[in-house]
Amino acid sequence: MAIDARLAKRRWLRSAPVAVPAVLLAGLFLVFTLYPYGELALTSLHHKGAFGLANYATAFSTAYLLYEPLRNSLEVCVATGLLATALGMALGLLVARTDLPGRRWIGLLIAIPQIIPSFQLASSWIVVFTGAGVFESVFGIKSPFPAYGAIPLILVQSIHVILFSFLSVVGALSALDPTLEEAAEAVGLRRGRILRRITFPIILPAILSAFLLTFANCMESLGAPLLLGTPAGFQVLTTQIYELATSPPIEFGQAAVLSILLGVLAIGVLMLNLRLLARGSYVTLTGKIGGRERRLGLRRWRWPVAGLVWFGLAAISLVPLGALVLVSLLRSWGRGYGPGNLTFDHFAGLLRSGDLVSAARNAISLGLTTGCLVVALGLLVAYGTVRLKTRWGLALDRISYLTYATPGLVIGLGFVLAFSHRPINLYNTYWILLGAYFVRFAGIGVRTIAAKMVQLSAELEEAGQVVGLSRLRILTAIALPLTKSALGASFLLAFVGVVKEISATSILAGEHTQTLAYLAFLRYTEGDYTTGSAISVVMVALALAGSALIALWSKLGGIEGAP
Amino acid sequence: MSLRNCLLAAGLAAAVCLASFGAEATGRSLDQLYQAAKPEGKVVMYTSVPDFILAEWKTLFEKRYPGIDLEFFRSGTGKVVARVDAEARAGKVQGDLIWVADQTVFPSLIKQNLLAVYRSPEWDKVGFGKDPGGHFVMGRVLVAVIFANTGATKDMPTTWSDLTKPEYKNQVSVASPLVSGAMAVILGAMAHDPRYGWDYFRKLKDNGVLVLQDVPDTARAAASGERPLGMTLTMYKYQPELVHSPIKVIYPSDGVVLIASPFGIFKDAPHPNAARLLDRFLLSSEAQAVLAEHGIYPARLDVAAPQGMPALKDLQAKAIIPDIPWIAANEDKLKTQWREIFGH
Repeated sequence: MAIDARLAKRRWLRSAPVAVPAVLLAGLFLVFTLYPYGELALTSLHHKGAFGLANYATAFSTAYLLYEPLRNSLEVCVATGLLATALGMALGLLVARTDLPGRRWIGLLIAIPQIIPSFQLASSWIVVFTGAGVFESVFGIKSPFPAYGAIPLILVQSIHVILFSFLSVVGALSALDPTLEEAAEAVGLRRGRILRRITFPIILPAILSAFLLTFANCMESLGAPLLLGTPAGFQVLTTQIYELATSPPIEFGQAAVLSILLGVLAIGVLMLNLRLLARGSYVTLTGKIGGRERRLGLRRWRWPVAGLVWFGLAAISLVPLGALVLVSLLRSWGRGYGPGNLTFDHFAGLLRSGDLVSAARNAISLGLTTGCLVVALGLLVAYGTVRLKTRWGLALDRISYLTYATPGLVIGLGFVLAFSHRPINLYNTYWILLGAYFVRFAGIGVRTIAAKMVQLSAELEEAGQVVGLSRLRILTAIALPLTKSALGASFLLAFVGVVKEISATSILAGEHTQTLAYLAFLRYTEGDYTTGSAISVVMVALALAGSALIALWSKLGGIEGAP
Repeated sequence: MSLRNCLLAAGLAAAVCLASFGAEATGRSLDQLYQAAKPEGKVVMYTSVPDFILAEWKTLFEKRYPGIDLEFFRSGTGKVVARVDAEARAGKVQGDLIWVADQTVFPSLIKQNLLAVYRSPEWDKVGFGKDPGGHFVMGRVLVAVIFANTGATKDMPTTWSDLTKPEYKNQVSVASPLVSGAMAVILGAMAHDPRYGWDYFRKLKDNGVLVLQDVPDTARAAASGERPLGMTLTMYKYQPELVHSPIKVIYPSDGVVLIASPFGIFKDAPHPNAARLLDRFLLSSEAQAVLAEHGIYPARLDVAAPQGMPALKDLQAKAIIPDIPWIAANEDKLKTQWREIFGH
């Protein structure tokens, strides 16, 4: 029987229409992952033509190169993780367990600051809270927040990722068997005690996992710390790597050392998260068979809490959007923010120069192509692991996890080191960006599609086999239609990811391959906020449209948790 | 053939080569150059010159030389140089002409043998800043000054040193020399000048100076009132979104910093004739006049200085003139020291 299965597997693998593209795709993926990682490691060991640990010695002995950025990164990201998780958890509990008015809409509102790229949130922050900024000119009082430094960075990054912990808590709570809580109530435990003794311990793994996810997201973020931290002399790991790799004298060796450190940290956090999820999963999988919805009445607190929540949510989602649009229309700096000082000139100028059109075309084309590649690889790997249970499938699955955890900046640096010379020179081309995006987002496809395939019974496909369909036919006639929703969702997730991407792009884009996000980011770092915002308006609209499609598609296909 | 004859022949060949180079430089008329450049279809400029000037040049150039597209890779000096470095490592620079603010970039480009020798007929019209080796020529003079927001600043500073006074605490912004080539030159000029030195920058830091990325960003910060005083370049007053802003341009009485900003052609330029055509265009009276319209002193002596700005001669008398060889030699040290003071 075992031999039969193996033979069947081999036969399937050998059927050319499947095998050739599959091997090509997997090969491409391997070249695009292993080679840059290898080149990164090699570069870190090269210093002025000599081989050795000189770069490591320099990095570890120069405080401003490594220790200070590392300490800053850890401080900001632990704080961000705690704040975002606490806020997400509170909102999650309110939505899943209370009678808060309008709770259905909360998820939608906190998705907005997640969809807006963090560098965009950061520039909105500056425009609003800086001296003589929007806040001061609207309210006529001094801005309550500093414009630059650690505190704005923590707040902005937290706002950006509240969605993670919110979804995680809501997911865990809705999967939690309510009979446990009912039982506790029946034996006379008070509500506070139930929450503390029963609900929290059960959703704890989900909370911890959300914390790790927000922490990792913060560690790899480049745009927000570059705009908010650097001007105050607050350097983090990503901004230090970016500077070493883009400002002359270029120090690729030291940048590689820091990148390896950042990569190891990020991957370590992901491993921890996987173990946590594996351990925690057994408690929450019972579903809510027969359970009725349990909601805590907020009673006289209902409206005050609602007021606070709604005010806060409007502030973090609508203010950044409003500031973005306002600056994109601003005619002159220092002449106020009234209607007399607004104009469409920046959009007109961008259209005239052709920059906007070419950047939009690049972003959309790269997004669509990456989406296709991600879906194809995801399908291949998911089939290889879930159905065929092959070793190569498992290996690709693991690698896609690693690359998904690798910060974009590290991938960008690895790519520029690996593909800017022979034998594969892709420097400044469309292909180097496509490769980096493929590697960066492949994990989305693998995860989403495999998760869906696990849910589907293999019997349908076996039935197809029994009636004598070829493997290819089974794939196209049975497996594909059944996983359609997962395919669509991962396609769109990759698309939105590409549209927002700047970490890898900031190192890899050439003058003909600038994307909307990169062009906007470039303009912001040069101080051209008005044009930057005009470009950003188009990018955010594209990302919002993509995300709306994801939400719609996921609803149709019954996939939970968009990002 | 004896060794001597051989050397003689080689010498002769070299002389003929050089002569033909020279002849090409001066002998070919502009029209002949255009005809040779036309089949190349386009020309690519790597530059830190701001967009609003490039856009005007592009229109002028393409109108005058139909069939040749003028394309740009525009970024801060740092990124432009990083780009050239990366392409040179990869085997071939993809641009035709480089024009950045930081003159210290050029010695290292020459050392890497990346620049062509080309002395166009227009060189005669340029007063100074011409490379004796013929690799680059100065195309404009940038002026580093203080922008002050007239709404937010009552007692205007009059010198660079004023910016370190307590009354301007948390009011001043500068650019990062790690990103901006102009700032790298300003830093080199002032750090090397005994009147300022590193002490000046330490005092700025103690006075709460904000280090933004690039020089136009400090102009924006001054205009919006975010940081009412900014160390920046006169030309940014002419950005569309700053033209009507409440800014006073202050020429510090202890001297402006004058930055001669040169350009040169890449040796392996993919469009060699178009590159030379562009070189000549950039020194034409029309292209130079575009600079003057935007607050930049043109390199050509026969093009009028920017309106409303003092004569270059008057500024020169007291100006802080960057010691380029010294800055080039101390580039790494300057950036390290900066990082130690400002953390980035």
